[in-house]
Amino acid sequence: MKLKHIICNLGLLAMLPVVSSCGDFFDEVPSRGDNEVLNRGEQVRNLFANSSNYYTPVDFLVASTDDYGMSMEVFDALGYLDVPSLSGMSWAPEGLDVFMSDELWTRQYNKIFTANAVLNDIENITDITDEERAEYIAHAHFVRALAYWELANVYCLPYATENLKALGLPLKKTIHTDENLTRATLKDTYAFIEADLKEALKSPRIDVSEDERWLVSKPAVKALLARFYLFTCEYALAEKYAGEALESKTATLLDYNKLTTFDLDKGGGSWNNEDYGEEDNSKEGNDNILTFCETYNYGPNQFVSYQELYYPQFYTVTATVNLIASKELTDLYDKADDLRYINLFVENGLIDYWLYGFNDVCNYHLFSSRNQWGQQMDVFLGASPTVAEMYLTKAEALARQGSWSEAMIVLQTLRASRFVDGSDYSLFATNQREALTDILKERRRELPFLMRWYDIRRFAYNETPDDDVELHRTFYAIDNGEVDFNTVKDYVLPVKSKRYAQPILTQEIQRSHGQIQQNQY
Amino acid sequence: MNKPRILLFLSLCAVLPCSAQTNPIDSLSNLDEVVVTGYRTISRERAAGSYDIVSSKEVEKRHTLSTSAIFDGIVAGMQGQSDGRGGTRFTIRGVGTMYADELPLIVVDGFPIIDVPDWQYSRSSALTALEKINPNDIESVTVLKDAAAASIWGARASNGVIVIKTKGGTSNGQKLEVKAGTQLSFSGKRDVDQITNQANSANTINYLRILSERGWDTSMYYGDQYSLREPVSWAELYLYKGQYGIMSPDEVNAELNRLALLDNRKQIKKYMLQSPVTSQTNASIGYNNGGYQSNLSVQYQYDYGDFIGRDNSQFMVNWNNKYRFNKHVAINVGLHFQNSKANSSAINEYDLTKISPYEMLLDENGNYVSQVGIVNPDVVANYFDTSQLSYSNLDYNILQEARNSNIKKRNLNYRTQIGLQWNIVEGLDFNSKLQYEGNRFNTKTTYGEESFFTRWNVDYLTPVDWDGSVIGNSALPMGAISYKQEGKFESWVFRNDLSYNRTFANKHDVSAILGQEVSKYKRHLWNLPYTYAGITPAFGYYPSLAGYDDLIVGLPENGKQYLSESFENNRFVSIYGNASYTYNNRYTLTASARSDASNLIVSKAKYRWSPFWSIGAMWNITGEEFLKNNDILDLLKIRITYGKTGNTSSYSSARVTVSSSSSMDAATGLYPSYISDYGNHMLRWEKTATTNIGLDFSLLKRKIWGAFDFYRKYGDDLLGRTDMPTATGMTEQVLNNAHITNTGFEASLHGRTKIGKIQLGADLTYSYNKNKITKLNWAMTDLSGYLNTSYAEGYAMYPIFTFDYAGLAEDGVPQVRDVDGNILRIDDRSLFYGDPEKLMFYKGTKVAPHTLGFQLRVGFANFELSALFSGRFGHKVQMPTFDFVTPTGYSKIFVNAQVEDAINGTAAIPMPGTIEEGVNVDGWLYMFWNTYSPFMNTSVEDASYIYCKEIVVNYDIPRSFLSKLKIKEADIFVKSENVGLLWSANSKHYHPEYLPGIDYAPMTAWQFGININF
Repeated sequence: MKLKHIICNLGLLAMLPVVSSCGDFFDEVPSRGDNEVLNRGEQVRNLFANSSNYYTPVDFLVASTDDYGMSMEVFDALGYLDVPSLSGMSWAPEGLDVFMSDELWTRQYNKIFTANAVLNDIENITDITDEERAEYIAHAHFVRALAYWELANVYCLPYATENLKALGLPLKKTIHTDENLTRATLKDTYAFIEADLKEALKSPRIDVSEDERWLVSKPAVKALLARFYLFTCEYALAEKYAGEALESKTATLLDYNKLTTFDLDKGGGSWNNEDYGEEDNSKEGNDNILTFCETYNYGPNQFVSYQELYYPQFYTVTATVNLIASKELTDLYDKADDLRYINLFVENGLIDYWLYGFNDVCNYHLFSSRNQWGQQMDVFLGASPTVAEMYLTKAEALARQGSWSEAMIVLQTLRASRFVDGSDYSLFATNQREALTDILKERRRELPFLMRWYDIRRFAYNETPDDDVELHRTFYAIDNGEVDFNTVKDYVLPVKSKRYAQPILTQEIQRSHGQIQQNQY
Repeated sequence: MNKPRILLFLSLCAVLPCSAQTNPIDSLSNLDEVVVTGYRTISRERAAGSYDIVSSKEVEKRHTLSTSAIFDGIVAGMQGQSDGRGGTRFTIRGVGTMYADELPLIVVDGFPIIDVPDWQYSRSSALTALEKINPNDIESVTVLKDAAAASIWGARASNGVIVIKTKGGTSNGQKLEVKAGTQLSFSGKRDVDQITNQANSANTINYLRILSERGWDTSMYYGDQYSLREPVSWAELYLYKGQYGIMSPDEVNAELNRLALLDNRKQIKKYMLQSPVTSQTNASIGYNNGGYQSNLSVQYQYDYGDFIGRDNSQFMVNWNNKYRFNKHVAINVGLHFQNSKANSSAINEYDLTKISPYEMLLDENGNYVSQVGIVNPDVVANYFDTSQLSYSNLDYNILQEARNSNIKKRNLNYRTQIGLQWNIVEGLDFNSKLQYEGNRFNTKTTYGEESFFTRWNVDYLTPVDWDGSVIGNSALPMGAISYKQEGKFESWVFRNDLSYNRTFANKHDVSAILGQEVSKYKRHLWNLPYTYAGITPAFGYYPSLAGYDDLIVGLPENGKQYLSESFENNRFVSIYGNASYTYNNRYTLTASARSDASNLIVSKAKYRWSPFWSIGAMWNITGEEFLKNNDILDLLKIRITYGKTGNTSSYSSARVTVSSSSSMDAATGLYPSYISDYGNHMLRWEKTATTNIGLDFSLLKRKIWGAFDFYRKYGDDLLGRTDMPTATGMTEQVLNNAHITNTGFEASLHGRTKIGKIQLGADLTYSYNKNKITKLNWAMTDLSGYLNTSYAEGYAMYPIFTFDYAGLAEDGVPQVRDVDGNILRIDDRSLFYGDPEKLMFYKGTKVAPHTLGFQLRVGFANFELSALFSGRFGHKVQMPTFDFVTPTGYSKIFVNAQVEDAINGTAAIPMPGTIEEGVNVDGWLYMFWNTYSPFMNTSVEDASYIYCKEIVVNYDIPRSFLSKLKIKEADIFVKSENVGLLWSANSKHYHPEYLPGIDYAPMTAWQFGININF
């Protein structure tokens, strides 16, 4: 009796109060300071404002397209090209999977993690309004959808009825390290992206913020939806969303006539030659002058605020030599009047590499920036939709649905802003087929290098065989990144090639303990 | 070197009076000892776990100045290592973790006291746990080594536990006991070469000349305005000036010859180093009237440090009280207070390595000589008119800097314990205990106006024209610059338990404890903004001498109060229980369990409340009939235990954490956040399962006794660096998935004998530990992984990997051999890009598998001499080698002392030959020497050594003499600490733990003291 009484007292004294309130007792975060758990709205906002997530490195993919103009002559003069570019040019799946890292894959999944972290912790954040909460949730879904869309268009086969059961992506939906990484089907992958975009569409932000373009808004989501449906061949929806995105008051078409150019003398007497005591092989005269568009001098704050953007996401390559244009590409432009050619293609750009005499070789330059290692990289558009892309999407969707003459009117609006004032920019089509051809050529002119790769994949599977592209390249034999200068090879990438899907790193497959499967070739 | 010291001792002893009244060598009987687990005290005889006990008698005889000096060589399985702040840090039975603390838990009078996290040991201003304990207060130390001993400490027991009990009342039932003691310790100045490991001036200049003559100096030096913060050494400067034709070859030669004759070591020794002195005085009063027991002790210590500006003082008070109200109820109150101050200059030994050997401190007139610091003095002289700057003198001098800067550390530590014991019925007690501990500290660094630091920072933020002429005033006021770091640690522990202890029918001993504990630990550290002449300027960019706008050093970004701030807030709720049953003093069974829930662990109940437990059995064979009445065997006891203990880490976070970038994002204009920890949503305790089989014995009426223990520790759920599929969003993460095993054997042997009037005692401890990381999901994919790793799967922790040197090729280029026997030149690119698994060879571990401790005691009349030796065997050391350094053109070159071997050709890898010798090595090729030569197997040597830690002579003053002075007991002693290395296996006879230029060898110290017991 006595003992029982004592134990009772003891329990009251110490155990009960503590154990019953354990939950609260453990709610204290173990550490704070430099590392904090997500519990303030400011942290989320600043995560979204981190511009290191705005860039997607695509050196390898760019080299895979027919917009890339690396010839044997240029290569001979250059003597060296990085391994990803060589592998991209040869379309060989072999050898690609053994690299130590795949920045594109890694960075997209890192963006996905950030989005998942925000979605996971958003309920713990108490210092924000319901509207801010809704905006951050929508933002996270948008970021995740965009990353998955990019990944699906690189590592999976194109979306098509015949490929629905093909390998999609590992769908990371949480922040948990033990989440299964088995690849979903392509169908489920696209369904997941679509669902994310539908969630993102709930964003309370009605229009693009001019000062903070990096905040996700309804037009940005609609623009991505338009792209999404164009690539799934649901043209009515693509037309609808492109049209709605174009209603934005703050993301608008830029008249290229307003852009100015500047000249840079890359010639003799540069400190490089002097300091390294190298032979001065520069030339006198205008050969040394390169003309760049003012955009190439923009600071990051300027191009992140570029007026045609719905949301800032960019493709990057680490060297200007990775954006050498093919003759096929430059021949598409009206060199006299098309401001895209005049402003953004720099003739004789190889003198940047002290290579002279390649006057007809052009480099494509839009923006330049420094990456986190201080390395200069070329930045270009297309990673997130732009107003120009929406005009092209709307036009293509209309044309494919039969409203081809209406489509040509849409196209003209875009061309008006791209041609020298007073020049004739009009295009005439007499039937749907011609209209579509014109629209797709315009699309290539407007969105060269990377969107071209996505389009080649799409064209192979859509309903029109006319647009299918078989890629050809004549170049030295390339084996595992090594160039055999003695053998010249004709490379072909057939329509519907399995190589449309880029291989996943072997290391990644190993580290997932076999959960991630490799593409079949 | 050591013999004269020993002789000196003996001769000292000879002059003292002798009488044969005392028995100096204590028998150190451990039969009647008790083990203190922190929760309870049990008779050693009935303990099934592996415990080591160090009694106050052993501690007192050694007169150690710090508690951390007690253990090395005394407790088998404890391996000490310099903690970088004058003390020793220990691991018990090998290292069993990679990302959690390696250090044992320190418990004082039943409560864990706050320790400094492992990785902050050498730099934190907070006191470490062992620094908070006065060695004179120690009554006993129990080291808990296996799971049965330690598992009562649950989640913090994996590294073992050191339980210290402080004195209470009086030592032998007297009513009043007053003790006092004082001692002085001296040692010499440190060796400059040991600190800097730099070549002398002649060799430095000689090497630079070789570089220059042979065209290996490929770096560019600009010497223009932009090189302001790109200092090169004086010798390099002259050579560059020669290259550019600014100086003639003769002028260059003359300058270099002048430098080669200078030697700053004497001046460094004279002006920068000090001969340290330590004085310590302690006194205590014990009182015991049966109902009330009290012990009050005070200690004061003053250290005059070994480096300019260094001195410390410390005051410690410890007061233990126990009051018994009646037969059933008693309370105890303990108070501990400690105040310490440490002063030093902002210059330390490391800074000595940053001045060239020819850079004198003072010229013949006693003026400061201009040295090259972080700023290029040549650029200052050529481009700026310093007379227009706030401070016209921008010369740097290390002695001037040391004299005009100071760091003041203040540390206040207080601890109080209150306990209630209530004997409810016979054998059943209720105990309630509360401890609060607080530790506040701050470090204030001040640079006076005379210091270069202040002059430079003020002058730097002065606007200048394109040609360097001053066009405005500095953004900073003239005056001293100071900054402060503050910290506060706090802990609360509240514990209630019921304990039961009874013997039935003289045969059945039952004891049990069941309790619950709540604890909170808080650590808060913050750095205050810098103050300039007492004010904190506004954050922002200001024009500078560099020509661009720059930030003022040490200001937090707008809107922030502190420069940096960190919190740790750890909470635990624990339930524990322990029971043992002994039959007839022969068979004991024990079981123990504990569950620690904490906010460090994820909330999932499965992980949060995961229990730790142990079971053990003991058989006292000598208690059996068949061994009774035998004359040889006094004790023979077998122990077998198994159990699991845990370890905590605040390294990994259960949740995703973000940090804010300190620089503005150029694209968005905000300070962006980034993910700093990707989270481990299954974060749980690290677990270690330990099996221990032990044997205790005693022979010939305790002439010989000892113990053997065999153990196997298997660490599971250990935090390990893990390669992640990047689809998870991360490339690597620290997850609970690594395994480490520690297998070992420990022996302790003690012997006591008497030969005539001479008493002899010997205590030997030996331990062997085999450590291996059995699972780590992290692959070393490149050379740098192998060269810098502390952990690799399949190897012991702290492994050494090297290339296998294969001699010089015909053209003089060093070569290495891969595992298949292929020979590769170091300029072969495939060496760098090749498969490191084929190129790197495991040479062993830096941690000694075998450790030996040996204490010899000789007693004669009133004298006792004891000597303590420790040895470590079987590990490896990377000896300092010449690194074939080349100038950079933007920073000072330092040539290490080993250059001599390389030039003379006595090094394993000599300097490359000359063209005349048929060797053509150009500057680019020469760089490979720098890259690879330090990592050859030729630099790895056996690290085994034997060291004499201390020799002590105690002399008990005869009682007949003392009684006249009303003194009960008194003894005086002479001690030599860190006597020296007796033997080492390496070719240069270095102490492998204190290699030149890496760590400071402890200096031999002489101690003298007296202890009086009134």
